[in-house]
Amino acid sequence: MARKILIIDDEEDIREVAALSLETVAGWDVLVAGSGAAGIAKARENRPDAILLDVMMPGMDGPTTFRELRAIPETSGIPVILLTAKVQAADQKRFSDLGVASVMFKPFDPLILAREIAQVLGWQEA
Amino acid sequence: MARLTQSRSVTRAFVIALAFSLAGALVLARAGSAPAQNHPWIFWFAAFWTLAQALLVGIALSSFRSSMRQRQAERQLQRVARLHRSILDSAGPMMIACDLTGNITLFNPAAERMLGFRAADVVGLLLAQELFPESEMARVGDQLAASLTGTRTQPDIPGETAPTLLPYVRYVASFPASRVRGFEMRYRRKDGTTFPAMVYLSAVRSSAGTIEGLVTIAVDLSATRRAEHALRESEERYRDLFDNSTEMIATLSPRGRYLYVNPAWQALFGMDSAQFEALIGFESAFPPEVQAETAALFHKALHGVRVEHHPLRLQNSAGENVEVEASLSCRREESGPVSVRCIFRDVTQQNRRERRLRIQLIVSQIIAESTSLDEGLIHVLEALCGTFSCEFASLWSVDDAQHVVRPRIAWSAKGRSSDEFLRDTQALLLARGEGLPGMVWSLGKPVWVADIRLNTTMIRRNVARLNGYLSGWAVPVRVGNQVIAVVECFSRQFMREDPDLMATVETVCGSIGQFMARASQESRVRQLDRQRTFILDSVADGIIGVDSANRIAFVNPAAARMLERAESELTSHEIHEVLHTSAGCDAECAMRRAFQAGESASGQDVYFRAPARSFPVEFSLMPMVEEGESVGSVLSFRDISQRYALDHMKDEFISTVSHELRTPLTSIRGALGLLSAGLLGNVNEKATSLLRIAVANSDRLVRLINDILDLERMQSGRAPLTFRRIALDELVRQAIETMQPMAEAEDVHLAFEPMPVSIEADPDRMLQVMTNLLSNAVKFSPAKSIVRVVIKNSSDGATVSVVDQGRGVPADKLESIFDRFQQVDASDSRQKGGTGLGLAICRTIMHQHGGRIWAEQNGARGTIFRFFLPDRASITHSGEEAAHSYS
Repeated sequence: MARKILIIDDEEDIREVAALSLETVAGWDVLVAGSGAAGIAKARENRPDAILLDVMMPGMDGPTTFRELRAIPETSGIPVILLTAKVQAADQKRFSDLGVASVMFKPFDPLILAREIAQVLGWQEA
Repeated sequence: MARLTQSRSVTRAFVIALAFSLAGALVLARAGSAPAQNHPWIFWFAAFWTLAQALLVGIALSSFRSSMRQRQAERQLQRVARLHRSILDSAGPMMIACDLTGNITLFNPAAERMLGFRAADVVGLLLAQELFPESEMARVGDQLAASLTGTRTQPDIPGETAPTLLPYVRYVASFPASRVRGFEMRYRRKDGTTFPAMVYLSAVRSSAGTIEGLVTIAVDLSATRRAEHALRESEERYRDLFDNSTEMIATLSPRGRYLYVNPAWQALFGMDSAQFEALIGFESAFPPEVQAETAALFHKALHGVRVEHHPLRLQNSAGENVEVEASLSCRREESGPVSVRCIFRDVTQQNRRERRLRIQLIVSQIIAESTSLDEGLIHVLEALCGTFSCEFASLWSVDDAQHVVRPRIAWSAKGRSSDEFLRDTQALLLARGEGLPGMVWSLGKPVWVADIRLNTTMIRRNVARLNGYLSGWAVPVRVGNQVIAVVECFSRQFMREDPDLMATVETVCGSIGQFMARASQESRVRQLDRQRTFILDSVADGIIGVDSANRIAFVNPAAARMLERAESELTSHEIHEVLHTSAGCDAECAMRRAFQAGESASGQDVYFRAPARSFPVEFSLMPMVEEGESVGSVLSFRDISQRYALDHMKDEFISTVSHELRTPLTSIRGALGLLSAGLLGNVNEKATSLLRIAVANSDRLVRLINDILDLERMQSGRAPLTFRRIALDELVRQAIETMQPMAEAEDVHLAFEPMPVSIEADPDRMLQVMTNLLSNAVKFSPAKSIVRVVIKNSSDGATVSVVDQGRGVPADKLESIFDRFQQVDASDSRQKGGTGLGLAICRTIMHQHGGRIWAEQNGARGTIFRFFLPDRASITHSGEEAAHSYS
């Protein structure tokens, strides 16, 4: 059964490229959401295997969304990978302190994105 | 004997008379029977017989009486003889008699005692000359004979007189028998020793008055001689004492005539005793200026007043000033004054010494106590005048810049006015060599003006005379060899030149010079202090000085302002307590440690204004070390709250810019990646090529953004290093592993000889450096070449070299390649995909580590990039390491 990945990003272009990359390269099922709130709803609804979460989003930002997800029983066990364009050390430390599974940086290589995700989550198939 | 003869003749006469009487009686008896008328002759015979009988009785009576008288006389004589004998025996003086041939006839026990002979061995056995040392008799005899020359008569001398006794006999014969004369002679004892004696010589005369022998009575003079000698010695001593006394001693008659002057007195006045005796009065010997004073002293003494230590100033015969203390007293007897004793003591040296010490002490005190230079100087001038009997003094400063000497300060005694002189003095400005001060400045030595009227150098001489000044002197004030001022003093008395006074004043001027130099230094110090205070007050940085106990000793206004406390509130508090109030530091607090260790430190910290009101600071701590001892520290700090805010804004901005650049790039890179991989359908060859270019350049753009951000953050100090002890060889291996795919792609071999090195560094940053260098080496190496990494360990750190066999770096670019966007070839970044920032980042990282990085040419081909990483532990713990290396 194909993995189910939820991508939460306010940038539609990035959502699309990332989704395309994961679908075509790894053959995973990809769900997308344009905001934190929408993402949480989708996560509760679909129970994805992992969530790729953008940090800088209008309204509810990445860390807030992550904390919400952790607070909801249905989503609290879903591994979350932050995908961010903020590469400064201070930011990195702040993110990893949240308790996310991993932090990945934009821009990403679409050809190896899936492999990296599988690697950090310990998935065998990639 | 005469008496015996007389007695015998009387006895004979008596016997004859007795026989005649018996014969007469017989005749009378025979004729008695016949009457007398019968024989008339019988009558006549009887008458004659009777008469004879009467005569006989008369003779017998007379003879008896005479013999009685004689016996009485004999007894008397014997008594006298005994008396004489006992006198002779018990007499102290020795008594010796001899006859004219020299045979000794009498030798009393005293003589035995003194000469050591026994009388029995002498009398009749020795000659007189044997009791004297050889030639002594002749010597004394000659003297006696000499004393007789001119005597009128030559007395008769018995012919048997021995020649040696002749002069003696003549001598005693020359004066009446009733007189005895004495002279000195030496006797010789039996043991050969001699002694002096007073000899009284007299003659033994016959009843006729002729000289039959000589008698000497001699007294041992040894003791007397000794006493006399002692007396003479004692007299000598006193004479010697007076003659050699340094005190000047004179004795004068009540009329003032000199009776005795000792050599010291003579030397003082340069006159001999005779000249003094010729003077008519005591004071005549003295210089005119003290004659009245000395005459008064003499009269005072004469009238019974003791003069003790009266000071007098004289000139000696050499014209030198002499100060004496005169003591005069009068010797009186019942009849009145007999003489005046006069003792002068030379106290010149003593007074000079005292004066010198006194003035030096005074000046030292003045200098020590003065708060200002001018106040001190005026007191010094006053003291100089007081000590050296002057009424006016001034100090002139040498102005080297203007080449003039100008009056700085003047002092004049109260009393008679010195206004004109003072005014003229203050109005003068003299060139070198001009006037008295200018002259002293030029000569560099003291000048004495014995008589102002005659001194043509002195410009102010008329006005000085007007105010009554007669003489004066001026002395240079030096610092080292340089004359910085001139002191002059003037007196209303004539003063003879006094080199000693000058010497003293020169010493004092030395102190004045030091005082002036010190005052000028102090004024400079005060000025510097003012400047420093001004600087400290006006700087924006807070500056706090702490003592060796780390208590605040000084706070500048900026520090007080930043800490929002008054300066007085901060001083004497412990620095850490003040700055880290409520910071809850433990013993490990870096700031506390830095202060305690007395080390220099700098960096950023957070200080507290009040509990819970902190502000970020950038600080610098410098220990103050004096003669190897830490005496405290100086902390300077600035509030960087605003800079923090700015930095924060900048970070935010960069973060945002980075984010905003990366977001579109993410889409571009992702889309291109998917396209170029052909996952979305086949793309023709040209399109694939173009897509690859687009992918490579978008990658490059990402790297460029990353590098720019990295470099900016590192160079602004907002990316602090995290030091850790790392295994450098492991780090290199990690970098090689990272670069291995790239090397393989380029067909370059990466070679590394591992060597364990443990060192303190930021591992992430060092990895960045290593990968950067390897990446460059691989990029610029031809295929099949080798890139070698070599680690070299040393006591102070490690050097890592990355050696390639690439195209090399021209010598003139070995340094510039470390600048931003400075590549060997402008096209490199395009061709090799570099950003042009890699080496600049490496250099920044190495600088942050306290190390350095540089490039060298690798012989004919290739480049060596080396970096040296210092071992921080070796710097701070070198001592421990040394200890370990020995264990």
